[in-house]
Amino acid sequence: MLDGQVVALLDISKPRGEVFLEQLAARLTTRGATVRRYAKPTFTKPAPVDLRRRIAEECDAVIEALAD
Amino acid sequence: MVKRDCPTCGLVAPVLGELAARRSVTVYTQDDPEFPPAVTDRVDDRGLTMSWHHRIETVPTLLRIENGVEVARTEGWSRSEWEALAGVSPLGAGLPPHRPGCGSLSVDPTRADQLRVRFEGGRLAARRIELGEIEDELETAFDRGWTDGLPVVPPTPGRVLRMLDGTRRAPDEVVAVVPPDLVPITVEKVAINAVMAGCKPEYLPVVLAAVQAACTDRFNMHGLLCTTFFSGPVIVVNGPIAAQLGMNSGVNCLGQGNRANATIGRALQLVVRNVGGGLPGGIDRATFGGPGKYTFCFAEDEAGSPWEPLSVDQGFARGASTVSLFPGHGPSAIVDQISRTPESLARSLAAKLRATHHPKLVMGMGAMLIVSPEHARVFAAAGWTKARLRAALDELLLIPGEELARGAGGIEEGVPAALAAGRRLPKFRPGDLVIVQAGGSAGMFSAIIEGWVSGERGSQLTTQEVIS
Repeated sequence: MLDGQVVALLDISKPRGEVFLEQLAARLTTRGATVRRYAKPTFTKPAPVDLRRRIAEECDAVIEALAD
Repeated sequence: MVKRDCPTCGLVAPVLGELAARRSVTVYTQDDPEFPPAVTDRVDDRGLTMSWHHRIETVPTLLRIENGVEVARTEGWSRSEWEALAGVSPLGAGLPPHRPGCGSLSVDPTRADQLRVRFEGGRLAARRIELGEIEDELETAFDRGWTDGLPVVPPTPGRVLRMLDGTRRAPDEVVAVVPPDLVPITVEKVAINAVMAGCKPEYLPVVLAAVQAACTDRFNMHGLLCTTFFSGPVIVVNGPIAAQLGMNSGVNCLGQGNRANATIGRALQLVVRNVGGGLPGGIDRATFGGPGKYTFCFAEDEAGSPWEPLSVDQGFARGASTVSLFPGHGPSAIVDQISRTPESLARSLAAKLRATHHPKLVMGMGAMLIVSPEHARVFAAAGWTKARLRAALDELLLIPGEELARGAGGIEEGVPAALAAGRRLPKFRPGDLVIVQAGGSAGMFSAIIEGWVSGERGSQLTTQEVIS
């Protein structure tokens, strides 16, 4: 179980990435995790430093939907 | 400065004796410390230290030194120049009035690299890699992952130092931060990769500019490398540097056979690979990639173009040497051998441009249109400027939304219905269609280089001035 764990889901803004992340969010929540959602402004560039820092500060783990 | 092996030095040996009787003369000999016998103050310069540091190119060279500083020099034998420089007259009675000298051993091609490493090797900071005697240097480069799949020129210290002569910039100057590993790159590291790519030293400023342009947020080399798409950096060179380097803007300009075109583009790719850590199958996830990812570099045909060059479109003065990087792949062909009016030819170009990426996708990716001389002639004869052609293409590439909507034409791909409904959409957003002129003088074709994700979300045409 993931009780008390905060998991970040990072949407890289690729088409249909949110479909995949919705499924993950549902499963993670069922297992007791708190899910927080983040998004990169564009999939073509690395995540901004501020965003990476926020995720690191606010979450225990991060899942990134990396590609198509 | 003399060497015994040089007949002119032998000729002037007695003259040096005459001079030594009247002036303080020191002779540096490059090959025989007993030469010339008529002078007692001889310095053995077989190590060529003095010859190198005084940049002696010819022997004999007569230098006049005052208070430890060189104030004049003359090369070879010329009675009048020797007399004037030494302030002694007459000199060398019975000798011909002049006789050219010989090459200095310090610039002998078989020794120059070794000497350069010995005297200037301290300029290099890169880690030296020693190979075992039985290791093949080309195979080693493959084994260690330093190549793009083709052999590379081994970057020996001598070659790297020679390459660095191609720029006035200091070897330790940081040029850019190279993705994907975000590694700061120095002029020296660029020079190493330029050697590996096969560049001549005079190409280095163009390679440096290309690396700088690539590693900007605007060009976004990181994304271009990582993408599943086909594209890589396409380099267009403008200005006098293109002709100075013998770059090809004409016959087969996008093809093989020109050293500058081939190696400048390759050097940029090797920088991304070897310094940035961008490896195919690693961070580079291209579904297909393309042959342009070995190298894709050409010059615009400014002399033959009826239009202002790309560098001027980008805000640089005519006459400036620039590199422009476009994220692209290709080329693909537009054939039109019939049109003789600009209106008809523009429609041909637009028809193919509309099909770039997908005939039903718009406003997401750019394209570079390379107009051939024979097509440009049609526009020029009718007085069409580049702006006029661009305006015509913009109008022709306004596409009815109902043709673009998802499902239209029985094709699921397309623009979301809400975006498409009841309006015309432009194929390209402003600035996303780049027009240049190049190619051989025969052939009523033009070329399209399809772009990648355009605008701030992706990669934008990026121009950098070449600095020597």
